[in-house]
Amino acid sequence: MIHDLVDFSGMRVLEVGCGDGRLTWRYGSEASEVVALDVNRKKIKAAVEACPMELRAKVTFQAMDINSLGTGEDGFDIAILSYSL
Amino acid sequence: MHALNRIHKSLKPDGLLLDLQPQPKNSRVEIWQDGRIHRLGEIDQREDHLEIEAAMEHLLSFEQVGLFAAERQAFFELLEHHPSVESWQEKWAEEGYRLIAEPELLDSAHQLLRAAGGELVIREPVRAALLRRLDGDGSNYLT
Repeated sequence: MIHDLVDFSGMRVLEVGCGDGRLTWRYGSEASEVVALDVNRKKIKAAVEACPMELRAKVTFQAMDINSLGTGEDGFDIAILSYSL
Repeated sequence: MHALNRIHKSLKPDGLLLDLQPQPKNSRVEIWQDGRIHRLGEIDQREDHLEIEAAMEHLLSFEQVGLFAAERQAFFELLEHHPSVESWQEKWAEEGYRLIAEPELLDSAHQLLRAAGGELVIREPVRAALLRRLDGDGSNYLT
């Protein structure tokens, strides 16, 4: 469904509210880099453990709120806000 | 700072925001057994609808001041599978979700699953909205 709306090819993606990463796996292989955030540490731990080997070099999971993201990391092509408004 | 403000700052000019939100509609409960679907009814999520509508209005306010422009949207159903009523209740309690269902609905689910196995499926209506970042006159939104 999300691929009908947006092309992730070569894009730098910020995902807010990534949970256990089940959405991340659906587009991660196309993106150039993914920063995935969730405030729930247990979910981030689960996402890190379940991250497919081929995505590990380009997907970073961080247990934090969006407001704690350093401004040095800005410049994303796509932001995904998942159940987080 | 609200998440939308920070996301606006984190995006490149012309970047895209994909917002995935449940719709303000009740989810439906089904039991799937050997190719048969038993439709048991809806759960009561009216309290959540108020929060969802407030979130949608907040996003709309960013569009109205020219910080994002809606491009496209799509509607779909997210399916959540559980082996039992207890598993559903435990998962939702863990997530902090409200589960308000008629006792008859829960009883029916229990009875069907006990009698012939299968799985309990929750159908949640979801909206995916794609918006483009703009540099409109919304400076008071970005403090």
